[in-house]
Amino acid sequence: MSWQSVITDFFTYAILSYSVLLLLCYVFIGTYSIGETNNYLHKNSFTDYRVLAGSTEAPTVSILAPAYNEAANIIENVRSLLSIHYNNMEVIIINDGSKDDSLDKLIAAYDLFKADFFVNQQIATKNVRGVYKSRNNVYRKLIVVDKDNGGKADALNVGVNIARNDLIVCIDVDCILEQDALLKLAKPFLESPHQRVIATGGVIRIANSCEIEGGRLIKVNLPKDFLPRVQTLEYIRAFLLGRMAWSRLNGLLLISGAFGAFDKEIVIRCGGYDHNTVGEDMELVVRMRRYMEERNEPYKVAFIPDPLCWTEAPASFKILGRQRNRWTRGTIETLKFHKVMFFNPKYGLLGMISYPYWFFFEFMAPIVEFVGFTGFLIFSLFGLINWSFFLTLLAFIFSFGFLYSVFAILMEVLTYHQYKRQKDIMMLVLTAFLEPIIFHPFVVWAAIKGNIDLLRKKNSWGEMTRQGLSQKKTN
Amino acid sequence: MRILIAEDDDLMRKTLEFRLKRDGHQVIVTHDGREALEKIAEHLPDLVITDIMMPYSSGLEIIGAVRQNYTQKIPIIILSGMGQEDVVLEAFTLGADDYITKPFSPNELSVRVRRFAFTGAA
Amino acid sequence: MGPHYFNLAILFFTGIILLLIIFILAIMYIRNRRGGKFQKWKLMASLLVRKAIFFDNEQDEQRKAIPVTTRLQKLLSDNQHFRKILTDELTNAKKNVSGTSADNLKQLYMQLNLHHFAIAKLKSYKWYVKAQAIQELAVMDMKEHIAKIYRFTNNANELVRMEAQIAVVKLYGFEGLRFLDVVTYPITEWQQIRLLHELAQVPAENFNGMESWLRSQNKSVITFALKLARTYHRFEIYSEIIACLQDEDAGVRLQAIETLGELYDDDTSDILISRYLLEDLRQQIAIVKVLKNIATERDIPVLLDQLNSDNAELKLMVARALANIGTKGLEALHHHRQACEYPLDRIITQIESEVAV
Repeated sequence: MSWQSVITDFFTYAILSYSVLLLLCYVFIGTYSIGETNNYLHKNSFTDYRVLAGSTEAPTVSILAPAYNEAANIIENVRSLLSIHYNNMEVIIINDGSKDDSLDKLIAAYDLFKADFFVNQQIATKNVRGVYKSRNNVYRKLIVVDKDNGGKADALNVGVNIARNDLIVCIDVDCILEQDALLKLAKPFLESPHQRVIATGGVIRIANSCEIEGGRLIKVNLPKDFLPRVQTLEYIRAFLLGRMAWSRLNGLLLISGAFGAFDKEIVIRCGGYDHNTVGEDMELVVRMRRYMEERNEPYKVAFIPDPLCWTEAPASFKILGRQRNRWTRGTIETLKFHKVMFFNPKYGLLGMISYPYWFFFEFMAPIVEFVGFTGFLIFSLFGLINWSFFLTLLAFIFSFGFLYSVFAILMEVLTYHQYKRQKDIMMLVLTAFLEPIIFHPFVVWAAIKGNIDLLRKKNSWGEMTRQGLSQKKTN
Repeated sequence: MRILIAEDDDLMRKTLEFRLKRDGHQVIVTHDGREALEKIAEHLPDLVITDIMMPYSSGLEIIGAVRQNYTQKIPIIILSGMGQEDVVLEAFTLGADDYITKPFSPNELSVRVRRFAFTGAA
Repeated sequence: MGPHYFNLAILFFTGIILLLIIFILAIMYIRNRRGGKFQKWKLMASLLVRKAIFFDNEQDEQRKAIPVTTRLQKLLSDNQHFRKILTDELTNAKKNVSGTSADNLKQLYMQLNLHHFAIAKLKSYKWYVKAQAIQELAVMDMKEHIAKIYRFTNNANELVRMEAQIAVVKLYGFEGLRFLDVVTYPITEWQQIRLLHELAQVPAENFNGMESWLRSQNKSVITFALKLARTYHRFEIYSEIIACLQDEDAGVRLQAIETLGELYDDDTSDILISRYLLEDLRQQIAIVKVLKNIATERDIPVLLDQLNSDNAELKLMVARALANIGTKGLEALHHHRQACEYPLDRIITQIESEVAV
């Protein structure tokens, strides 16, 4: 037994067991998720959301939409937010020190004046320059806040400070909402007598190539370009075959930053969004969960499998790369901030299942893939393993991935059926075939770069970073 | 009278159309707020009957737009399942002329519409 | 571990992929074909329903049967898809119209024996079939079958239970609330909203049972009863509401405070103020909100005291309450020792601009 074959065997078994475990997890989560989605769809057929829209007992909502240099579309987007059918709601637009004329445009379009407003600094933020309200009664639900530039997390925290209602709904200002989106997001807060619902999220769909007019979605189309289309497939897989299962287990760690609702009181008690991480949306959810676990209060993070909002996906490799790089760094930073929960029974399901899963199968997956692939490639080049074995392995992974995607497409057709033409569905299947060849390696590489960038940042910033990290939010 | 209907429910729309046509009116049907505003600009109806919760545009927005953009006072009747006091008040504040809640009686609607034929537009 | 295991797996996966793709194409094809047929059927159903809505039944004492073609009758008895389409059109229409049109729709529903199918569905073991049937019977005003539906108001399945509760209220209005005496499962906030919405469609009347509901073991029944008291101005149970302020459940206490905002007496502000210090922040804020509407000049000193709180939100609410009392309240506000310091100075500016509007 040569030492080379020991190494190759060990390596092979390690990579293979990881892969098999991962695949089994996917299958289990996928099945569970579909079962839950089915359940939800049945429940949904009885629900008349309009009752909630006009009710005075419905939870009060403050919509927070941070805006930075969005002058081109901001008037339309604000108009569509103001036209949401919901009784007790306010819309707070936070102008994060835009360098363009966003603020002036808003003041003109909505007849705004600077109001005497006491900003309750429950969370520390950058300076607020002014709070504006409208003289026109039609726009009485609108508040515009002007502040010094501080980033998305800081802008949202300003919104939280100003919001006077019980629920805050954080939304990207260019996100297109479905008609009932707000109602669907608010309803879970009313359905849980034994647990406190602290946050809810829904499905984000890709708006590329869709017809949009006046801030409303008119017609759904499959994206014409490859990159947005493959992301559509990704989102279908993640939402239909993933989130619902986690939500049911009450282990959901991630609510999309594009659209989510939160219990304001808990957000404030946790200290608001953390501006020290690029993954502020995920980090807040994890921190809120941790807070509730530490106080042993029964709670829940809910998820709606219905598509609630539509957003533009990156269409170029460069922007996509940056996005995935950022997501990776955000995940790592969140995992690091809360590493005390890793396999810690004090944190229940969160510590024993959710966190380890994210660590091993979301954070480590690209690394294992990269190491596995290059490892096997090198072994093949040196003749330590057969080329045919290497290729067989590749084919195995490829075919499973393709199968999983096709299954996801089938589920999409059976449930929400957003893309109704046979041509479109076949296009999706083709995209699923091409994904592992063109898209997936790029995404893995972006994730690896994300890891490297984060390590580099830490090393080069040395002492400053160490000081920053020691001021972590506890509470 | 020339009446424009904005209603997203197929059956309701056809019911309204049928009844109003039987009463002798000319009826323009639309499915949602956006289409309604287009057709109002195109046809300048004598009366508008609109639901509130519709895709793309709320019926309340239609009232606002019509009151702001047109000098002639086009009477607007709201026909909606939302009967809560504050919605009704808001509709009238914005300029609606009548508010009928669903479930409604087609006979009653017919009579109310006739009222506007006598008092209404030039 | 040979590569042949993998080869087998790959073959297996490929096989399933092909099957799935064929399955997808088949489903879409069937749906498209069906779509055309269903469109036609929907038109037929919609036409029939419209005929029923405008059917003139005034002449005879005995109601005439609504004419239905034999073709349609046959389709109805043979084909469950058509039955569903027609039933959906009927129920949808019934939700939207009232008066003679609604009576006609009910007549058509019974004439076509559709209620028998719904009653049969009540025995299904699938919860969503049961719940849908309950909803259908309620919308179509099948008062005759209330007993069968009432049995489900405390059913273990949440949705069956909810639909049954809504159904009995829809059919019998306030009488239907009897289930509050016996329901053991909690009534969610969402369900309470739905129940109140249903009750709002019925003319208000003096209903009984409030006293026992306010003492129920089921906390959600107490909260619901408090909401009823508030909505229907039941002043006579004022003392029971005050008693609820001492309940161990925070939600009940909160609801009691909010109810007192509508049903108050001379001693209400004193009672609330005496509870104030014993309560958590959430209830305290609720108390201050109520005081905004009912406080009088003699409460000024107590409110002034509360301005010393560290919590800025509470300061704001107390200041608002003081301002609402009138000029004396505003004066007192200005003379408070913190009136020139942050944050109270900014709060006062905001409150004054609110009052000016």
